Amino acid sequence: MSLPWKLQETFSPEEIQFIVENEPIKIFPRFTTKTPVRDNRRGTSTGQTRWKLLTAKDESLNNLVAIRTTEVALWIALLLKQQGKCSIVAPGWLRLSQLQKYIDYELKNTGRFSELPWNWLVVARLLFSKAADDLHDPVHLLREKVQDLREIRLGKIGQGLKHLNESHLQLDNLSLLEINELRPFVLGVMNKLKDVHSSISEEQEEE
Amino acid sequence: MNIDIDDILADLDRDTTAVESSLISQSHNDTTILGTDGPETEKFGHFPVPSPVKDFERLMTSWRNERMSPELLPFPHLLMQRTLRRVQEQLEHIECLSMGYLEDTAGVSNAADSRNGAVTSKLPLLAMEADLERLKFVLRSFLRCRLAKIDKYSLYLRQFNDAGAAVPLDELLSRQELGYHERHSTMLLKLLNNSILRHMPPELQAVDDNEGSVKMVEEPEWSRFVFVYVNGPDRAQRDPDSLLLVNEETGQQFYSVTIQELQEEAELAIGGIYVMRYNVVRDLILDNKVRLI
Amino acid sequence: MSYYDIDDILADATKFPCRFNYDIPGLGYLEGNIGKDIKKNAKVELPLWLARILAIVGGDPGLSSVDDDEAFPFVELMAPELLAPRVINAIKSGPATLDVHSINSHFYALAIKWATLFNDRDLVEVLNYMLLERSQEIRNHAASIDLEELAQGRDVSTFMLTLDEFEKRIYRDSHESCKDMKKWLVQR
Repeated sequence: MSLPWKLQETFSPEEIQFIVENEPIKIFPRFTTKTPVRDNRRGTSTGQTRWKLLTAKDESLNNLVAIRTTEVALWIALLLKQQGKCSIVAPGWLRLSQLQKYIDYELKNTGRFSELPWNWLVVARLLFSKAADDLHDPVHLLREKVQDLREIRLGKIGQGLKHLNESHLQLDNLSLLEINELRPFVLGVMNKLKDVHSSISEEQEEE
Repeated sequence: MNIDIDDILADLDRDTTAVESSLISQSHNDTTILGTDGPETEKFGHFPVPSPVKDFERLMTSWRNERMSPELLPFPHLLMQRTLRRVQEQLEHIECLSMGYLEDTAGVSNAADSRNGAVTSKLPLLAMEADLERLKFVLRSFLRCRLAKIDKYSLYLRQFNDAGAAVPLDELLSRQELGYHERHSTMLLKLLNNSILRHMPPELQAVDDNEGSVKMVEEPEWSRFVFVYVNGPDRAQRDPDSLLLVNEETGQQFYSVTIQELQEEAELAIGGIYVMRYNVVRDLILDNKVRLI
Repeated sequence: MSYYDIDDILADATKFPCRFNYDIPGLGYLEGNIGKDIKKNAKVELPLWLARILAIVGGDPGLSSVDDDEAFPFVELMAPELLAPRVINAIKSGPATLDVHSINSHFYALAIKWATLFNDRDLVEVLNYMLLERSQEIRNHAASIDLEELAQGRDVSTFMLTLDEFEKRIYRDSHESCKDMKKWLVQR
């Protein structure tokens, strides 16, 4: 098969990560690429290679000034970080106090999910393993909080699954990775419920 | 050997169009992928060329929609044409740069300062290679997904050749896919015929009898559930979206859809995530107002 | 469901009890009497794919026209064991612990076919309840199995043995998804 069966009708977590890696994130570059105005006419003769990308914006990369924050795609940020060429500005929600607020919200509102960013799990995991020194709080504590948050939400999702039906469902504030994990179950059950109910659809029309 | 990026970019500007219309896709099929002087160039030359990043976003949407939709979606002819050419040009560009880079370091690698500079100047190259690989990954996965569907719906797609098909097959598929489908379905039918069918009585030889209680030709599961994100009309679009309604109490914008089988109405709020039957949101997906996630 | 769906073909081969509404010459082989006739009111088990057709078409072609309301179909489909009242009651009282596989390995598929044939709204309600209740249980198992639990000797396979073919697929797909997720979460 040209597409492995495991990837049919769903994505792998790695593919979700790939999707999220295209999102912008703020960095502090440790080098400068912006050429002084007087040098501009000489073009590339200074020996500097210009950035030219197809999947992400390259303007900011050609105008980097050391220690001045700028926004780049997450995968570029991780690449620069790996080379020791930048530090990553961890997003505001990824700190102990903020995560605790989300946890409190999740516990207080049993019927709703807190408004975490749609990519929270992926961003957290990537920054934990690749930019731990750039985080606002110690990584092992953050890891615990994220794990707590994930488990509370998983429990709530379990409760919500009792409301699966043959018509439709609204699932606001679930992140893409959480949706992807749920996908085979939710779709499998709802498709079967649809089959169950469509067995008597003709009678409905007669009524 | 030194090729200026701006030259390449300028070259891009003169070529291709931003208009993706089914009307002109026919003529695009006939031009080669890397051709720079298609007949449509002059006609539509005044439209701005979508930037690579914008095109990549569209490719990502096409890829994700294709992966999650039960049916084979129309091939984005112009988008793919632009993207494939950019891949080729970027490949050549990277090759030029890396040759230049080698010469540079061989010449002036004496001072510590220039060695540090070398790492910095190697970075763009590193990123450009990763960038290209990421683009190629999406392209490959997209095409593989389409091939899997072309295999699966081999016989179903043959019906598109009949008169009265809503979308002609050569619009639904790329030129290469068209050839693949033709050969694949011929081979499949030959195999079925040689191994089983010719040993059966003539009245039992059909593989495309759709009259019985279960259709023999497998169709996409139109009412299969899918996860959707409602992104609303393209912001660049000038015309107001006549389908978009406003909830008078909350001010929330939404699309109203009908679940035919249940005779039920449902609201799809902008920014919302839903599990819906594919056939309910199909038109909104084809119009890029709703995305599969 | 597609033409080549093996589970659908297997489900359709399940035998359902039928009662013949006519004497039919030469059909005795269906009940093991080769060469004999089949008698009116004879009870015979027929595969669903055949029973379904015989229960719809019929009437004695010699005596009645096609449109005659009085014409009985060839056979009358009788309620099968898998939908007997005691099964339905068992579902209502405790769907999660029911051994569905031992009732029939294509339980849902067959129940849906039955509901379609008889427009059985009550059966649909029962199936809806059963599906939701049991799927919670399936998800719990699919999400929580890890080596630790296996090491503690929790018998996973007993639960698996009570699932019908559709439920097994849901379990398998959900389990794969949870497993992939866990793998992704712990990788460096």
